[in-house]
Amino acid sequence: MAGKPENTFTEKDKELIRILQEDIPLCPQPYQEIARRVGLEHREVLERVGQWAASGLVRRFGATLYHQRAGFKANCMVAWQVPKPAQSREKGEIFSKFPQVTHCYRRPPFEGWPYTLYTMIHGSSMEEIDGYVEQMSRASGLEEREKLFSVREWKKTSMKYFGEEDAS
Amino acid sequence: MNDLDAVDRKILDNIQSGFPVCERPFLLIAGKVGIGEEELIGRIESLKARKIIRRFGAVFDSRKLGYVSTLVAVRIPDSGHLPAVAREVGRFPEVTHNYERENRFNLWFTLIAASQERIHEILDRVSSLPGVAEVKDLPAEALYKIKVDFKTAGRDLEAEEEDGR
Repeated sequence: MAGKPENTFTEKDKELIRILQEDIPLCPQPYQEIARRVGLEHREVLERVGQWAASGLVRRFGATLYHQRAGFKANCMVAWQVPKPAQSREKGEIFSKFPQVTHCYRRPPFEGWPYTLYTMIHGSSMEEIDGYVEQMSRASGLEEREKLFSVREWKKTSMKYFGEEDAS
Repeated sequence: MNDLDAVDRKILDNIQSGFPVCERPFLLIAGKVGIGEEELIGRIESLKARKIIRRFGAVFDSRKLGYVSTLVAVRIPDSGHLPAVAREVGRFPEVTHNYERENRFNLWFTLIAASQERIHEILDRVSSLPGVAEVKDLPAEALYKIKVDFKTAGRDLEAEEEDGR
């Protein structure tokens, strides 16, 4: 899924994006405060951010929680083999119905690795996740898979777009 | 999450997505929660200070911004090399998630970069690190699900929703 910008971004747009992806000001008129920092009118900020939210450029807008505190002990990525590649979407949609599955993607296979359907599964323990994997296997009819339990989290951050060192 | 009262939970259920774009967004949410604007802002500040809320802002669609994302699998046969490789990988600002996993491919990371050339450059550098036997670039070809919203009233769920994860 190669990136292709829908539109080009002005320096003011990039500045606005830099602020919005951090923490928005906690005050009664946050967009007014943002407008002041960027050097735009309050109305212009409301218009641009409104357009971005409507077009899907902003995929989600709100609070992100700490997930360890929210009761998650384990996460497991499971890569599934889909013997008939044409069934990839159908199988992906079956997996997507599981509330424990937070992400589901199709990715290319490679030599010695026939798995193409990737599901991220969250649970309170490895045993609980094993149970979900069994249910997913029964629901989809897919059997061959690699379970990739996380042993250690080395890094987890939010992407910062249009950062200082960014050449784009 | 045990020290959250009913009002906190109601706030969390109303601020995880669809933050209003209008002159007084907190006033609108305060009305839904049934408290005043000032109390709402104070409680959100407190939820951040108590490390319940990690960030309060926008999540952008990396592709629509012109960025390229991928998932990378790395095989490090001698696990003694893994910590050094993991630390080097984590130094790239383009790496958003980096997990050690139980598999012969024992390090998996997500990458969001300004161009495909930059992705190749990073992968070349990772390939040349001591102990690295294989590096596989696994860009998403189709997306079937990214979960975006989590309720705190029932089972507490939270996940990142970076592209390429």
